Amino acid sequence: MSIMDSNTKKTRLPSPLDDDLSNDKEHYGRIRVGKDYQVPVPTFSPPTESAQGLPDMALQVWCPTDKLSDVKLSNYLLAAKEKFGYKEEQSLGMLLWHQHSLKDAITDLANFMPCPDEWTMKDKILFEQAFQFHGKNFYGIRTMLPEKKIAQLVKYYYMWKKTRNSKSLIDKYQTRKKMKAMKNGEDSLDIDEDMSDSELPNEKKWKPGCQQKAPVPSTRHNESQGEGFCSNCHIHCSNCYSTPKGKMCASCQMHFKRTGTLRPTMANDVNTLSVLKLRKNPPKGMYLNHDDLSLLSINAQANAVLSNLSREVVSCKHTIQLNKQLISALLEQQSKLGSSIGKYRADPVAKTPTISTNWNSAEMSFAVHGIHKYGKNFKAIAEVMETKTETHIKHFYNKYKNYYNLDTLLTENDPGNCIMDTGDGKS
Amino acid sequence: MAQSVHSKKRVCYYYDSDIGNYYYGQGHPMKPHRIRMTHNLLLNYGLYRKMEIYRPHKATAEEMTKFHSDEYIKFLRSIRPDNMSEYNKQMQRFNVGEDCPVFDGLYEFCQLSAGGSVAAAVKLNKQASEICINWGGGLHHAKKSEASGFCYVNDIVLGILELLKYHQRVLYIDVDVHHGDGVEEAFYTTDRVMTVSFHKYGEYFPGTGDLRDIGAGKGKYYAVNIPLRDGMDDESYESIFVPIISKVMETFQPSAVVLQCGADSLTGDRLGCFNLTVRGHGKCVEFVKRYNLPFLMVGGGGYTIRNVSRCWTYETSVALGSEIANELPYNDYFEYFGPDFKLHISPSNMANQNTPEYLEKIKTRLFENLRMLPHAPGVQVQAIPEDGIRDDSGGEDEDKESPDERNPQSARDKRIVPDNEFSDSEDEGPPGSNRKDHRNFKGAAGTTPNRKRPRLDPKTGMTTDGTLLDAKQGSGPPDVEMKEDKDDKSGGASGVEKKEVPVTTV
Repeated sequence: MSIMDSNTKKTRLPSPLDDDLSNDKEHYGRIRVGKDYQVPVPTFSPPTESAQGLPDMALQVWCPTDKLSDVKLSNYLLAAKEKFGYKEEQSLGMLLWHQHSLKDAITDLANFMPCPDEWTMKDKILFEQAFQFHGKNFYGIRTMLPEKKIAQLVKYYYMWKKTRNSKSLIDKYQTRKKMKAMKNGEDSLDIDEDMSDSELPNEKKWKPGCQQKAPVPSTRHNESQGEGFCSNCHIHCSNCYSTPKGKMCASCQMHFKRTGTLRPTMANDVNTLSVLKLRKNPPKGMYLNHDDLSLLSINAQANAVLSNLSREVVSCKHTIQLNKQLISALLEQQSKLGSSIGKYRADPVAKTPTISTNWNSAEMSFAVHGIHKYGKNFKAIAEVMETKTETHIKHFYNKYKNYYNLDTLLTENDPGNCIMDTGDGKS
Repeated sequence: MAQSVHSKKRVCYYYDSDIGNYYYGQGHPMKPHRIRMTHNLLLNYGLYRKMEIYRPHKATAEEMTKFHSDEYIKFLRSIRPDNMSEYNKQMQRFNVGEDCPVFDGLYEFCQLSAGGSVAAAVKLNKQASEICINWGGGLHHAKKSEASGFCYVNDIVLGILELLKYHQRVLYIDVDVHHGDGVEEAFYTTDRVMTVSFHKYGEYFPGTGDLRDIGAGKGKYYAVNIPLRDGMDDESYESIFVPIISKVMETFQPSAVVLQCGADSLTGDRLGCFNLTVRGHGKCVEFVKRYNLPFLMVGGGGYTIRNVSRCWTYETSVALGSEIANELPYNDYFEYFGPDFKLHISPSNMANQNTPEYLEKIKTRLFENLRMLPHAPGVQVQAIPEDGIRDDSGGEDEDKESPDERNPQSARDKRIVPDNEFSDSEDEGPPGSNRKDHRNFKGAAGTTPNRKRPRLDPKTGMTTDGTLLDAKQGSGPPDVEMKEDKDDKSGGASGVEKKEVPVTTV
């Protein structure tokens, strides 16, 4: 019995065995026989009522019910989540506890506070630092976060792992810088070794540091009089003030009013073309608004604002995926319908009478057959053919009379033998 | 195969929210987190609310020692990362350290995984559910006194032991890319559990699972190994899975099935080397489900965790019989599923080293072995529900029982699995026919290649029901090598002795 390292498992060469099954190669693994290896098998007793009374050995936390409609259930879950922050499992557990009585469950929701596995900003930063230092050695990380259990660390790690790039600007900035050093120029997508498969494709390079934000071509552009870009710090703001030095945002205008000079910004010399080139656009769809920024910096509850926003983002993503599911379901339905309609359509499609003067070969042979069958009853032929009028057929007859020897066909024709045949012209 | 009509089943799902928090160690491919990812997907697909959800108890040491040795469990209970140095010798003995590292919460992890499978088995015994799922289980390498291949406690063996209390015969199927050696070894000498394992064989962990390993003693022919090569794709897999399982069902006639759904047989697995898609993998579940037997589904391997959770989510939906969209719903771990964020995966272009001829050869070989099985073993034996007093020595009383007393058993079986039908087996009677009718085709010689075969007594080399055969049927020697089945009534005790004596030395 070989004990293999996980790596050796992977790197083992494919089987060298040939296809001969009966080769007398030595087994290199053996199932051992003996009382040290086999298990004594319990005696069988026929299932009786006693089996029904066996303990469950597990705690039931949810059981589906016919009593509630899907819509009602979803509404309940949504309410529990938005009002009290319950997770779906928790709310369903509550519902089961109240024997699927929605009313009781809703009233009871307020009595409990789902205890969130809260990570403070400080913890998060500490974790990030510890992770940089120790990697995935959670014992090591724990020395820096002693009040957390390993289990909590592992749980947080998996949550954080894939989202860290969108959360940690510093991280992002560093990878950008690395990338830039590697490939000079080119506006390429960033590929982080960890995020290679989840990077949003529309995330373009941009530099942190809001002072250098370039004017954003947004729809709000110059909509109202007061709105526009500050000529000093180049940030979009909803209220611009005209000054002798041009439009300015509230902060710059205040500074100008007080000191009579332009507020010093990092982007003082933006007017030169070279600097303009350096400016990077923020990610597509991201609008930096001066007012929002100032609100964030003033508001003591900035974190709450942010977390509200991120919750909103998550619910938007939920909706996006739901819509995608809906779309693909509809598409599937459509293609199904399309194929099933096709069966019925086969005839009608062929019959859609689009009368044209051009003769194709099928029509021509059809007409010949028609003449063979119906003689000079051009009207009948036209009715059967549908794509030609009576006069068309007449013309055809006159034109090809000699070529197809139509007159001989006419003489062959036995009027008593006119089977209504809608033949396809090839028979 | 006829297209399955998804039937709605009562599904119970076992999950403990702590299970994702155990961490084998840096760089270790086994990640219990995949179970939480699966759970989160199920939740967001809206499948959670369609099942009965249970939080399993933590299996006690007493429960675990029903299979494992006391010392081994005691060791698992006491070892921790901070006291490892005191256990050097035992660690070596129990093979804990390298593949199976000591990590924080190791014992609890084993308790949860085993607790889920045992609770699920009990649920099935109570007939309170048709399908039970424990993705935290499926640790099929663990041996009686030895950890192996990332497995410490064999929850499958514990679950099967539980099922055996109320089920005469239990079928175990293993679709992990690795051989299910722990389970096979545990039941190597019993005829009440048939283990069927489909796995990569040849220079591959754990090294066992040769086609010629068929069981020993009384359990001879009750271990079925399907050794496969790299690159198995959906089509080839189905071409071998379906006929073999059909034949096994037909000949072994289990009253409960355990399916180990190891997801390392999927394409692109970190350790595996097959090329199955989620759909192909799920077909195994679909196929087994159609037999309408009490059905326990457990997890197992699977080391590319995004695909593992895709696969098990899909298989849960198959068990539930409710279709789910290919677009993944948004979930806590959504970013893991990029760049396509779809449920289904495409196979790679790797070469399939399993030629149709190779698979055909294996199939023929295994069919020959399966033909050696007595039809529906032990049916006649157990038919004593009236007195209920039984000999503890297991199947020994088989000898005493007369096959004529089969009737009560069949009747009882009918009650257990009322809708037991083998609609996919060509050899079977009309749909809806149950176990009961096997007596009919058994009697009608020539309708089926499966014949009642005398079996060996492990000690004497005698057929267990040899006398019976002599008295009732007047048997001739069965031909071990024969391909085409001859007469049912041929095959005698003397002939069996002569042919099969070497086996008894195993």
